[in-house]
Amino acid sequence: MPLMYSIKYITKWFIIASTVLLVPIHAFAFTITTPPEEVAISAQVISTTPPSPSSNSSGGGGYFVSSSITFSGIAYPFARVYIQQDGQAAMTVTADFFARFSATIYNLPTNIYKFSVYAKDSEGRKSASFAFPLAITYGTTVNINNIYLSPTIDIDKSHVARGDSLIIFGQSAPQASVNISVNSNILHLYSATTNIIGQYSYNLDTSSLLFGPNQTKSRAMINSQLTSFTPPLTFIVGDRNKKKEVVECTTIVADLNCDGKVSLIDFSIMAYWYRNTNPPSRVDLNSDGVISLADFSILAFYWTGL
Amino acid sequence: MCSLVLFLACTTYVLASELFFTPSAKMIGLGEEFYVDLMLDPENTSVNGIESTIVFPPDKISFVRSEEGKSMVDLWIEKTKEKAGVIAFSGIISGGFSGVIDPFYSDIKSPGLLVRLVFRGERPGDATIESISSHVAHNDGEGTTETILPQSVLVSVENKTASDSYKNIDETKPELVVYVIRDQNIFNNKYTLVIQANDKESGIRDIMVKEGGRDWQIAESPYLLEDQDRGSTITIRATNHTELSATMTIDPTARNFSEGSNAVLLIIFSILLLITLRGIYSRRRKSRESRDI
Repeated sequence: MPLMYSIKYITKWFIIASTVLLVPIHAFAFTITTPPEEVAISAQVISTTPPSPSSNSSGGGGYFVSSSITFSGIAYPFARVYIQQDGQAAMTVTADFFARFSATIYNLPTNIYKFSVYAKDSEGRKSASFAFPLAITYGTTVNINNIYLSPTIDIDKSHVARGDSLIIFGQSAPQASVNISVNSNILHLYSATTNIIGQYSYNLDTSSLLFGPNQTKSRAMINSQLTSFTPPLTFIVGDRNKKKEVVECTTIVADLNCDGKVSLIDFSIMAYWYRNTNPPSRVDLNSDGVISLADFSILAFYWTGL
Repeated sequence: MCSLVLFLACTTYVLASELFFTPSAKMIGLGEEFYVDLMLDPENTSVNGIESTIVFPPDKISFVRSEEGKSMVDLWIEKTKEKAGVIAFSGIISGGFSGVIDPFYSDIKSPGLLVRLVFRGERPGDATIESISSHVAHNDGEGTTETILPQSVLVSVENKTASDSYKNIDETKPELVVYVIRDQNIFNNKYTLVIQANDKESGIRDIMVKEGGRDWQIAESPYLLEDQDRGSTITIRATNHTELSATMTIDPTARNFSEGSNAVLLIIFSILLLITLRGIYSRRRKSRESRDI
């Protein structure tokens, strides 16, 4: 009995000790922040309420009278539309069947904010970000209308045998005209029309393209207004076909760690090599042998965020 | 001929974007702190990168700090640093910058703040603050950079005591985002901290990192972790210019504890063992006593 008791006693304490001391906590990504509650983008900005002197300032720290901002525009049918403020997620809404979306953010203190809006289509492909800084003043209502987000774009092969076809596809608003450009030795332009759920597809004949890397991107015409271009995709014209993987480093410019995004981590990798000699070719985006402002500019252009 | 050469030299400067200084005051007292805002007017182009070198006479004014809280720049390649009257910085603007939109005058885009430089008046006399070398990068995906014409601003330090020193009233805490990464393109695939600290008002003064029982270290992202076994708790602290901090910890992921942790573990297990043995001893003694009775 005493022996059994001892074993139980020891076991009990060792379990407690082990629990306290050996629990591994896997933590790789954290955000400590007051989550931003605003976002914006625009083609047209309308203020409906003039600023008035503050009647509710907190004293000493600026004004905290609430303001609101409403974003509306066209994405893709049932697309998820993401609104970011100062680089942080602020709001997500779903577009309707006609690709329309609208989102309102409240309680914005007076400040200058950098807003960005982008959408993901039904396959998780991202549009280009629509980004702009906006001065918000206390007690105002701001409407940002006519945000026409770029289409999404994808390709079926990362390597295509010259002469074979490459399928370029993606999503935009329903019944929109999509202009597809392919940058080879010369710029080739093609067009497609989206179906009722906004999908488009084009079979590209690669006979006239140069061997080596080529780029394609697209933009849509919606309600007589052109969207911005999609982020470009790179494909290789050669002597064999290779199916494009879901995440593939070769197709996303500036995705240095091959995670399918161009974000803070890619920026940090590039910052590590800033002004250092012999940077890896993958990091040296303009291939001039040194990491400089030009490389960072290319990275910023292809920025997708997290 | 000389004029032609001069003309060609001048045309290497592109007038698409413009930098200019906006000082909080032009007449400064001795010991008075004042600021100079460096503003960027992209003139209807979209820019996504900036690097600039600014000089000032350190015998007349001294550099106190830079405030980046309201800057259009969202990622700093090199944070603002000063040495012997030379200030340099570089950064990028993800998504590009073509001017701040004022909702009440949406047709007009306003210049945006790059950085607020805070100085102090030291000795009487004129002090010229000048951007001697500045480049912007266009948001075109090709890394096109252009040189911007030098600009300057003159402030006078007067032989009077400070009357209205500049102070930033910031009541918001910084925001902190941290990742632990390993990548073959950085620090030879060793564990590295990627840190992004933001403060919407005064800006970040410093970032400190502490690994387990080691001392606090001033950190710049990317930061190579000392403990590559990942056996230590990592604490990251970002402090703004009004002493408000955000702190976060990342717990160890490794089961093989570091030396410091091993010592603590040994002590705790020893105490537990003593308690256990004492319990066994008292139990046996009690049962022996009850048998004797």
